[in-house]
Amino acid sequence: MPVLEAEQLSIRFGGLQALLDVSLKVEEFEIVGLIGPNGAGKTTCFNCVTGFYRPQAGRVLFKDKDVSGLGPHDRSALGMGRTFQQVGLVKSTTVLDNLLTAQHSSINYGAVAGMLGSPASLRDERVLRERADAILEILGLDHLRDLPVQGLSYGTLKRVEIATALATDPDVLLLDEPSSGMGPEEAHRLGDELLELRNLFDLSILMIEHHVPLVVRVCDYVYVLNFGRLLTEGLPGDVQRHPEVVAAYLGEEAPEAEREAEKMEEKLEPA
Amino acid sequence: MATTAERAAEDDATTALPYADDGKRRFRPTPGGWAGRAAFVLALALIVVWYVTANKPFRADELSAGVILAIGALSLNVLVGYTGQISLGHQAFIGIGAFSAAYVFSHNHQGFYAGLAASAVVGIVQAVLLGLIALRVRGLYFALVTLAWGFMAENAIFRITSFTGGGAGTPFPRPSAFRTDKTYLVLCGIVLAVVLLIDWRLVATKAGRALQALRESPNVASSYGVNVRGYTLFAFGVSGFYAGVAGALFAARRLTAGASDYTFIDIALPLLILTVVGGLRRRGGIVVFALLYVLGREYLPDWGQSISFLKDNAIYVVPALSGVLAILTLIFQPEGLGTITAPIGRWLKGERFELDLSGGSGAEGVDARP
Repeated sequence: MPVLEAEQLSIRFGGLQALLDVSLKVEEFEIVGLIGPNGAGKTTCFNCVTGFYRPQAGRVLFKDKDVSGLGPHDRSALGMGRTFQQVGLVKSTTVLDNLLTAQHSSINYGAVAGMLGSPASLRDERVLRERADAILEILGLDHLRDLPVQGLSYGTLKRVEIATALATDPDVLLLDEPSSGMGPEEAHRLGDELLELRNLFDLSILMIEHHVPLVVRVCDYVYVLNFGRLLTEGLPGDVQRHPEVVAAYLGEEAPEAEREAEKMEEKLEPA
Repeated sequence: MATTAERAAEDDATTALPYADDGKRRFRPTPGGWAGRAAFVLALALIVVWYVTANKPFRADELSAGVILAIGALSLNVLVGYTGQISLGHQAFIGIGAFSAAYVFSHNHQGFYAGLAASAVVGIVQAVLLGLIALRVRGLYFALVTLAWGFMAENAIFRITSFTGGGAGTPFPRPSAFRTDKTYLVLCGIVLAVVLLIDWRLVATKAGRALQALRESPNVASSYGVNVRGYTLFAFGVSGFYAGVAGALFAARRLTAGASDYTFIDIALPLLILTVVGGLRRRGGIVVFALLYVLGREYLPDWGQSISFLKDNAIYVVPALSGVLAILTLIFQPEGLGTITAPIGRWLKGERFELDLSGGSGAEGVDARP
């Protein structure tokens, strides 16, 4: 039974049909890849699934519940953890503070009780710290604990962001280009890490990724988006050889991609 | 989570990347260091005691005005500092608190404490209503809304005779245990201490972190599970609460709430300057500067009288000086007096004394630099 399911999502921004009838599923404990050329609607799809955008049609099911009407914070509280393409961290503060803030939904005391210094809030704050430390240690980031986020390198920020997403205690992790800003070796290591994290945290993962070797290695299933539509889906190896995928990525003249081919040429890999 | 941590420990060898331990140890002061810190606190306390008890022209009344201003500035700090929304109408926040307290006293024949409670509740309600607007407009537009709200309160609401008593005002007495100026200063000090405690815990817990996140990026905040609308309103409620309490104290200090006391010039502008020069999100800086401000207001005009070229214009020294200070702060030290008080605070808690005069990244909410 899928833990996360998007049914026929459609969204239009002015004259641009950003998504049309996009459906996808993430089964429990699965790592699913979402690939496609730049501008294909991958991040828009993420934003619809996580509640940042309200699609004009379609619905999102999460753990057998229709969450289409819920805001992003409610979906986060239910167990959707996400990262952003442009690093989504509170930059004016430390790595540790980000991990504390990210545990917002699992805090038992109320905001007012915290303000009044209730004993439960003092106790809980210690637990939050321990949990944050544990996550940082797993990711090998404990040496960054008290450093300000500002000033960390882009590749490191992407990993810190995964740590904060884990701190929201997710069942499904949605990663937007986790390997961007990393070299091939780092990306390879990230692959190992994702497989490891899935086991440690009992996660399902949906990830947008451009780095094809990483997708082929870690993903159990892949969806390909192009011009807001699902081009194809399947096992990573099959999708990689699918003629239309090749056309969409390389701009070859496949019958349906003929007109778009010209525009796609420069969109192979993100800068 | 414990099991996760255990498993993590087992898997450490494979998952942890080989980063070198930079060997940074936590700094602990020596016994002598602690003694120095204790001596510093003691010296501060002695100065205060000496100032209050010394047999010279000391006006406890002025100092309690400073304490009340500090509470008002902490209220503004919640909006400007924590949520990043600029309020130019804080005379409405303070005044509505004051008149609510006086109204409860004169119409329902309740005492000071009932008035204080009423001012807190009404303060929260009016701030949350304004917060509902803040959810729709941000930045400059919201600042204009608060400006309008302030002038509306000042020139219309505060002149409704049945509510405020009009020009004569409405009486609001001090509680029987704190009638004299010196004891009333003690009461104001206690309230300020409570507000500071609340504010400290606010920042140190859930709500403070949520506000910090949503001030910087509402999207990141909601991905962390923070209800952005809810916490924006919450912050307005807290700000209204502080302001309401400050209003009641203000009225009782004057023994009456009068319409002409709660103006932009007398309340909102000084509070803005206190918050900016004291330092956004710098409780210590704000309180210290509020006290310095009233002491300056008390002594500088006298001092100005003694200087020949200032003689006739001595009353303008304080407004002129605070304006200049605010401008200099915005340009050179966005963290205001907090640049100095925050390191002292950290030092007292047992850390190293590290003064950073580089200007920092402090006031992103109202950073005036390009």
